Amino acid sequence: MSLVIVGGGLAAQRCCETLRAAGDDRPITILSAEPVPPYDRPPLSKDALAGERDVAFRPAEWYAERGIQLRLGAPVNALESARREVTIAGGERVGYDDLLIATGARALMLPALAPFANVQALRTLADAERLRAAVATGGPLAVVGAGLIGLEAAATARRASIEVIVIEAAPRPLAGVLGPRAAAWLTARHRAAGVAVRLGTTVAAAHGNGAVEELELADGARVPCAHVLVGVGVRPAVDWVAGSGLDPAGIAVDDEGRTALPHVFAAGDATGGSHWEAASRGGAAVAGALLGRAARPPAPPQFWTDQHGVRLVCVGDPRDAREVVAHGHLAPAGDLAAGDFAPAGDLAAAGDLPAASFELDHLRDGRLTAVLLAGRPPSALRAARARLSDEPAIPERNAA
Amino acid sequence: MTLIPRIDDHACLGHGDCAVVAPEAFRVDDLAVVVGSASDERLLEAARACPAGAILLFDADTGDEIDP
Repeated sequence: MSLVIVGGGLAAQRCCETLRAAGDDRPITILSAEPVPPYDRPPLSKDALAGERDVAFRPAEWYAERGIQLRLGAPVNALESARREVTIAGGERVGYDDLLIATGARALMLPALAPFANVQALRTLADAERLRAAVATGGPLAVVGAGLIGLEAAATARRASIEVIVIEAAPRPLAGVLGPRAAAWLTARHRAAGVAVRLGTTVAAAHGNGAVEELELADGARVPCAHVLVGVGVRPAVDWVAGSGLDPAGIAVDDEGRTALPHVFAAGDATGGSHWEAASRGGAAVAGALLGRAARPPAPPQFWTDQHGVRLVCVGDPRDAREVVAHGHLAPAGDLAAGDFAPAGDLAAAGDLPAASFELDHLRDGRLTAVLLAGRPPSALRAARARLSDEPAIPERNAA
Repeated sequence: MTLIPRIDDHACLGHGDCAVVAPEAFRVDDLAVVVGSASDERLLEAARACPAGAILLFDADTGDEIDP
């Protein structure tokens, strides 16, 4: 039973790893549009952007040694599920017994900025290399959109001591994933680190000859810039399934990654999720389904971000919370007294910024829906996860 | 102090940061496994790097869990 995986990101990688770790040796073919073997994306806006990390999941020979054919530069443009075939651009058809759709997402671009040479999104390794080169030549860097990617890139660029301005249309950053209190803290953290943060305004026009030299904001402000990073969200990169019966806006799947079509699975951002953890679980869940193995127990959603020396981890879904209870020290933006938690030490050390160590419990109807942890140790994260689920706080451990 | 690392299999999602920081102690197949030892300093760094909080460290002498 051959498995064909369209897309070469985390979900594809984790599916392969889970199958091979279980001793399954079915032939696998990965059809990836990218020119390089699968790599990890989170570092692209963090240490890899600073040139401090190699992002490849595995050395190139890892695939060949495990009977995994890695076809790079092979974008797929059609699915014909009745014939169990996909078509690579150029016309070559590839048959499958089982298919995993893992084409991820593509970054959205603002049409008004798209024509300019010094404007980019940050999604691929090539994007990260381009941004790194631009940052190395100095700023100012304008970041349009205060989402996870934009803020992480802003923090990383700021570490290189260049001028950075973040422009966000919403009244607060990370509005899609963080509540107002955490967002206020994060905004203050960026400002304390020297990032200019402009909220509640948009880019009205871009001026420059071929390259943007100045952004004109809706509030009339003019922002000089040498390079522009657009981080205004992503959309599932599954246009190519149009006509197959699957939804090209995002593929619906069950807990095991099954789509509405027989022998067709999907995982990761292609299914409309957008966090690393979901893609990892999704890829592993498809492998589990192919192995006929019981799925891992469901876990609360989770994401993490590193900005200005503080790690933020969010467990659960904080978006519909009605009440937020804070524990710890939210300085410089917060209103709590210090001392509930001991300082987090190295985890929070970031130049002359104060250490951060706090948790925000998000509640709805008296029920805990999410915990946001900032600069907290691993034991606090495990405790938060236990509070959110029935998972035991002291888990069984594997042997050392 | 000598630290003994363990992986919480429920929490591990295979991020792989531990194997980047301390490859002598951790390998990631689909999930992380402990494959050897490393200096306390590296183990502490690996535990701090793990986005899932899945690395547990114990004092070899007392058996107490150590928060990195």
